[in-house]
Amino acid sequence: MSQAKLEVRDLRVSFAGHPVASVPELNVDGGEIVGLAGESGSGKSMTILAVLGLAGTAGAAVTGSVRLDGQELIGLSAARLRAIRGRRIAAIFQSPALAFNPVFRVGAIVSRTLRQHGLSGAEATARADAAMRSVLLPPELLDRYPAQLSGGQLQRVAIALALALRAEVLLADEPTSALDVTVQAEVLELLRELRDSRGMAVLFVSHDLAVIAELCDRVAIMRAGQVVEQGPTGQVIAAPRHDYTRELLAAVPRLGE
Amino acid sequence: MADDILLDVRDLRVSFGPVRAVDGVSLAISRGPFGIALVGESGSGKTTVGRAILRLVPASGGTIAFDGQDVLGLRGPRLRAYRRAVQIVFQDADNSLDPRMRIGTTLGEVLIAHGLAGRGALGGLAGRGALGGRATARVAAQVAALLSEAALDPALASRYPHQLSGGQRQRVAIARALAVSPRLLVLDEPTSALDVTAQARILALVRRLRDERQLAYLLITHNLAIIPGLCEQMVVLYLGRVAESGPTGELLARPAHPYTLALRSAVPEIDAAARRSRIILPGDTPQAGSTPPGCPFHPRCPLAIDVCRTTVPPLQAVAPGRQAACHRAGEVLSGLRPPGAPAQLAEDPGRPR
Repeated sequence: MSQAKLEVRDLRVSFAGHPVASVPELNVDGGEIVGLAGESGSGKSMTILAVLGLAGTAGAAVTGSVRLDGQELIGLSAARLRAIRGRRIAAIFQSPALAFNPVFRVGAIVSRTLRQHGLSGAEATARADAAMRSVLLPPELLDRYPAQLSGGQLQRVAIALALALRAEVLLADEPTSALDVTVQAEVLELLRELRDSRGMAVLFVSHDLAVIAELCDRVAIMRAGQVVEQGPTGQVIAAPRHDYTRELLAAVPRLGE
Repeated sequence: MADDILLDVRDLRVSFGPVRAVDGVSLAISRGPFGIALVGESGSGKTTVGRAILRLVPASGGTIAFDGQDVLGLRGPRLRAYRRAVQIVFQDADNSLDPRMRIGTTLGEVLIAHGLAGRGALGGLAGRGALGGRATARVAAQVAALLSEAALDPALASRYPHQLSGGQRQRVAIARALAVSPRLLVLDEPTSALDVTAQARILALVRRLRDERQLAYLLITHNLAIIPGLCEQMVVLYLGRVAESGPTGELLARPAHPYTLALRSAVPEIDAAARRSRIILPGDTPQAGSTPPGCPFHPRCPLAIDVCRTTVPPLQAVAPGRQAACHRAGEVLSGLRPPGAPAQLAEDPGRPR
């Protein structure tokens, strides 16, 4: 049986015995963007946190299996997990402004992270510059403070950090929901580029099926902590099988013509 | 001035120090039911226009007339009366509702402050904070009616904001605006913080209130997709100036400004057939403090030619009821499009602050 880059099986996240997310099966392969769609509170973000091994820090209990290249991540020691999280599995979130410590220059944050993962100072600088160029940002922006960058620029820096670490899996939790549509279009284009030219495996969380439709190869629809439907994006959107999927589809505003 | 104009904004200017956030914006809002959209990216000045209309930021030039009355010169009781007639709903209901007040208290306070509490048998007797038991019961009834009108369960009156969902909180913010029976609503990105399902409910509510209350509203948004069906007219702002304005249907079907083309192409489309070739604009929106010479849009414009780099295009009529500020508006209107969508950019101009 061929093995996907990231394999989630029977994942259950619960708070004090109360289940908040349950994912029986979800695969994300290299060179593929898989969408996780649903409303606020449907369990999308808890799924992401569980994959990152961070759900426990939020007080949740996690059972099931999350495998990266066949290696089980659930139950791994904190130290082993730290070597994987960030380095092999990177994550970007809805609010890039909250992801950067405001009192440090962007470049200092980026190079410290790279050094944490074993790079020398010189290597870190070179990689950071190259990564900035590949997300279409001038490396000079590394000299600025987070508040001096726009939301779209910061989100691209967050992606650049994942690139500099040579991450194989990118977890993207509503990365464009706080951005203007024009900037969103740029970030989506960048994610496609990462999938196509670097073969990254991307798990993309969004409430907006229009964005999912444009970006994702496959999609899983979540509602109240359960995956209610999953399949190739075109198929799910053209012929939704679950009422909730139809509801989500109906909510998407259309420009029409 | 035409009788059907409720709010007439002419050549509005707002400066923050040397920064011209709004630089000569004109727009006319008809009497309700009527919707007009103000569209642009972050930094385009759209929120500042909304705030200047409310007199929340001072205008440095231009005129605003409400029902033919000069707004910028209003003071004291007449300013209060104006602010009752024109209400605003902010993007973030989390920050615009007092977290320590129950929903019912928040709504009741508005009624009391504006002397609208217990109207009816009590007449004007219900003063600030000095309500008798019967008046309190009447306020509660008014609050319940407001919540119902905003499609909320009246039982939510006893809850605190954090006990409500984002969509519910935004409907409370709308109910609060409705409490004083406004004639004009300024809706500043009312759904940007919500997911699409909550957004759809808010937009349906606005549509219903528009007819039931004969409301006029200014919808401030960066998302073109929510405008059709809500707004007859739209105004596209770029760096504090009007790039294009006109009837929504025509403007979206046949933009006259390349910026509108780019905004339209950026909207994610669920129907593959409706997907257009994407025009990715290089760089972020420049800051209002660093307006380039010539057309403000030219550094990002895929159709810029020499004249665009030197001469500011005037806003002029391009079709009946439509205006655009672009040297090539005529060509764009008749179908000129950027050559292929530039998928990748060699170098990002970055447009640093």
